[in-house]
Amino acid sequence: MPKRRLTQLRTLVLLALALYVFLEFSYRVYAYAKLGPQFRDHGFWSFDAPLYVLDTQVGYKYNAKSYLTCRRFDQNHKVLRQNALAVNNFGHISPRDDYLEKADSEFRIAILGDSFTACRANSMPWPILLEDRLNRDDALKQLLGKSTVKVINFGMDGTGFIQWSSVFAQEAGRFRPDVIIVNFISDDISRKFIYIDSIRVPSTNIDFRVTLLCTSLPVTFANRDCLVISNISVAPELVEDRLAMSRVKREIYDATIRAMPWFSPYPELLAATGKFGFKSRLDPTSRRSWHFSSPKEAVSGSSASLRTITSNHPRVMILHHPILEEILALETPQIVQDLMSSNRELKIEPMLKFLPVQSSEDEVKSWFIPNDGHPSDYGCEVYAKGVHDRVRAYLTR
Amino acid sequence: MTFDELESGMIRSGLTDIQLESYSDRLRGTRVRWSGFLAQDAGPKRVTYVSTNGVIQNIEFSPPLDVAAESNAQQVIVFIGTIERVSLAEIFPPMPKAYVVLKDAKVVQLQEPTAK
Repeated sequence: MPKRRLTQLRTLVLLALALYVFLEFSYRVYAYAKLGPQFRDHGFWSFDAPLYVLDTQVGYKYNAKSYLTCRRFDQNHKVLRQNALAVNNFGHISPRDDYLEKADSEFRIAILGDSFTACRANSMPWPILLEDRLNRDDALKQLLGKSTVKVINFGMDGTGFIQWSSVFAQEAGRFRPDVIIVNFISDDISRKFIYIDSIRVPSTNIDFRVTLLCTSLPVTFANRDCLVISNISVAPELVEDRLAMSRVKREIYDATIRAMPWFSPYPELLAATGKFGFKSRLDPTSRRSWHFSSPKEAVSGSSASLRTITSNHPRVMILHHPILEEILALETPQIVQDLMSSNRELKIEPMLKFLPVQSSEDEVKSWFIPNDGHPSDYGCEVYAKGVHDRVRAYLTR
Repeated sequence: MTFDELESGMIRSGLTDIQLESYSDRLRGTRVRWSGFLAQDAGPKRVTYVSTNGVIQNIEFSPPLDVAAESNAQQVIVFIGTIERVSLAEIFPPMPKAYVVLKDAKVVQLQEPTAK
């Protein structure tokens, strides 16, 4: 009798399992069919050649010796802004080449930072404006006993503190800078190490690349730690064609959907119920975040990276670059204060104290690109002046 | 609460996952009256996304919103809705910009297209 019951039980379990597999399969077919129509046209940045190249040690590099036109389009294919972008011989955003060799007469400054430092949307990055200002400062040069000042822009879009110790070790250190400036915005404390690459998408008849940003390798659509960034490199004559670009965006979307784990053993059906603690992986918006999960983790990781830099170079200036909202509110966010109090022996200077923030609201707003938030060309000039004053104070103290 | 106030509050409260989730939870259920640019040029008037600034699509309606059939892109709609979720807009280079999902939303006013 028990043997018969066992057989019945086994049959029941197998039937239940078969039913679940059938429902799971049906659900996936339904989910796939549902995602297709959810495509929406959206704004994007265009480049006439790939800007980002994967580098597994520092995350990525800008494509060296590139002279590109960057354009920002809105979802109706209207150009919102456009600028020329020069990437120099070492892959730094700068119209001037850099050299590993350093003359005795040169004073060299390396600047680590994110997009606020890289300035890819500006006609002239502020580190280069700073270089010009310092070269006009004869009194300072005399004091240093040098005839020229060279500033090297190691700014990298989307990066944070956690990345900069690698950028310092692998890149900036090789240039034997006399001073390092770590220039950060509040968000940089929360950012994880990122990898970026420009990926070719199999396309019917258009040659283009799209940018993927990932917090782990490999940089592929299938990696759930990767996000598709709306930076598309495509021939200039094609970018004007609204229909062609709409097709490109559709192909990127389709590639994203196709790469989702449709055949994984993960219980998607249970996840879809919102119960049992599972989270769907068949949702294009469910990819993992590239921010740390808690402020404690963010401050601790950023502090460790910062200390790696300061322990390997005797002269490091650390500057907090305020965003528009912080200037208007005249406040330094809690996470920056936490970073400062965790690193009291390192002098982290809020530039809020050294910029003309008492100017009118309209003046302050003109330092930033409207509806974008990055420094405007004018904002780069204001900031370069502020940093010049800080460098002067630091070197003459 | 205006959209700008929501965005400033998000920046102030912090951008790590836990902080964002907590901010989103705090605001869930808040009824808002905002305006935004329609994202679509033409076609069916079930609007899923609008943009408060005409640049980034930063408000999503779930379910989509019914808008008058004659409406056009860059037309401004005024709507009311209930905040369901607040997250970071995925833009690059990244900036702390808010992305809000609204539920139970409806259009209260359709303004003339603007020359933006």
